[in-house]
Amino acid sequence: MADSESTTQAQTPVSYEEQLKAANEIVYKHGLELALKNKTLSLLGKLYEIATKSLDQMEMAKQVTEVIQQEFDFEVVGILRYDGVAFTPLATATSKRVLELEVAEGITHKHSETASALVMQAVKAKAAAYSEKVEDVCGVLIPKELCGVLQQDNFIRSSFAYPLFSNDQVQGVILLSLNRVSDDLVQYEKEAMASFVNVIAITLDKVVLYEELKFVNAQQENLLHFISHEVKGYLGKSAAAFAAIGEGDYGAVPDALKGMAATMLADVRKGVDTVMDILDSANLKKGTFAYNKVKFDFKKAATETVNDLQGAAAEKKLALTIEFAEGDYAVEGDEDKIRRHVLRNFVDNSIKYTPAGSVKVMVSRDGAAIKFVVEDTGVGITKEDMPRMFTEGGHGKDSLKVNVHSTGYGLFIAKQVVTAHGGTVGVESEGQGKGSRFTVTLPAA
Amino acid sequence: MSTLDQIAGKIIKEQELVIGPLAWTEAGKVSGLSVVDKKKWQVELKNGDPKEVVNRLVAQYERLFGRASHEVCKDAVAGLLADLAPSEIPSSLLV
Repeated sequence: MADSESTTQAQTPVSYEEQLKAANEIVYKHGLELALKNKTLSLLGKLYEIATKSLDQMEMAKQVTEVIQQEFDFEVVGILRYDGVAFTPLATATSKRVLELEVAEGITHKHSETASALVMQAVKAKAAAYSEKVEDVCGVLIPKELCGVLQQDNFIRSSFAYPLFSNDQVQGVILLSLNRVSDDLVQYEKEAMASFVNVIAITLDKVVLYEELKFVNAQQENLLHFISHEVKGYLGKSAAAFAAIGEGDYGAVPDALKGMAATMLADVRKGVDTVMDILDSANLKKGTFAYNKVKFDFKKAATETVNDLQGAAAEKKLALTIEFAEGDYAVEGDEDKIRRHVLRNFVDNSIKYTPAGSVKVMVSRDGAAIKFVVEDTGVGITKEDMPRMFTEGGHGKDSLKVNVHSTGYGLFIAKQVVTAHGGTVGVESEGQGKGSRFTVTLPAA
Repeated sequence: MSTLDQIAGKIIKEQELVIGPLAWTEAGKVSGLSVVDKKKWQVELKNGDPKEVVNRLVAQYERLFGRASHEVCKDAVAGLLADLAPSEIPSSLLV
């Protein structure tokens, strides 16, 4: 039987046009398979792009719902956040005609509405829920008044609610309402819906984590600010007490006690400096670090800073020198902050990280910029440590072995202060044990 | 732009995903269909019954690429067809 059939087929003449059409159809089917995959990939690509760029859950949900609504011509696409107790609507995108209905009927979305039966079903079952009844989607995303109108106009024929998971917990729901029933969905729509739900869940998870992290960071900063303020107050009182004891305000004191009071006073001042660094860093991040900019003599400020630190350099038997090129060194800026956070910080840093040798300060005028360079013969900086130099809390790998009191905020604050004055900071080192060269440029007044 | 204009535009857009620019070449051969904006897949159906123009567009693709291309046309406009009365739907998209 089979033989006779194949004999018959072989004898049937096939025209060139028919062969060409058959070949065309095969090529088309291959093209179709690729096109479906491309469409799904393109949609997922758009969603991943939103996931990468969005750090705000409302904005993310808005973009995601718009992309899905436009791609599939769905009537309503909405995303709800679920915290285990309550639902919060994040965004809703509607078709043009649903939007026109909302406007015509004066319908507004009320956050006080409860979640719809379909959404609740998806959350409880932890699985996709489907319904062809409009009343099942009436709730926080589709207000009851709108449901009534949609029911009359037969705009919504079915709805899907997909739970969005994070660590097996439902953290949200995406609701899709469309003008067709499930059986009318085409292959691409079915495949894409199964894929994009997971991408949206990951995106939501990311933005929620980011927002939680931001909140915790803000709380931590506030706490740090509060504690620093309190500690600064106590240290200030201690400093005043040690100074008073040392100066004999409470009567004559023995030399031994006087010496101890002086040592304690110096230690308390270091403590105040440390707390001030932390406070300043917190203020910089909060944007509450104010600058009082006036014209001042940078040369004088640099000279006085170096003179103030000669004692610290002498204790380590280091040669601390300063050189100037001829020129005008007027700068418009916050003199106190530049002295404390920039000049003192860079020179003091070099002294601390130079066990032997010298620290050389050079001030010069380079066109419209004033250049401040601190060059030392100290421990140097490794390639790995270099990127961390001006970051917040950015210690070098072994820096705490050399300077146990380092907060890691000094260079970070210095850079912020210089940048706020329109200047730049830089550092060079040939490596460990080969010294460092810090450069600051500031615009001349 | 009428729903049938949108349907024709959506069919061409979907065919373009599969066969590329050839989708426009074939659409250009359909009488009664004129291109408004290729980038936005906007076309206009004029001269006669627009339902028949859509039928001719579907047939144009099917003649070259067979039944699979017919299904692509139907799938592409499923969302738009759901809102039309059966009498308003081009016959090629019903079968």
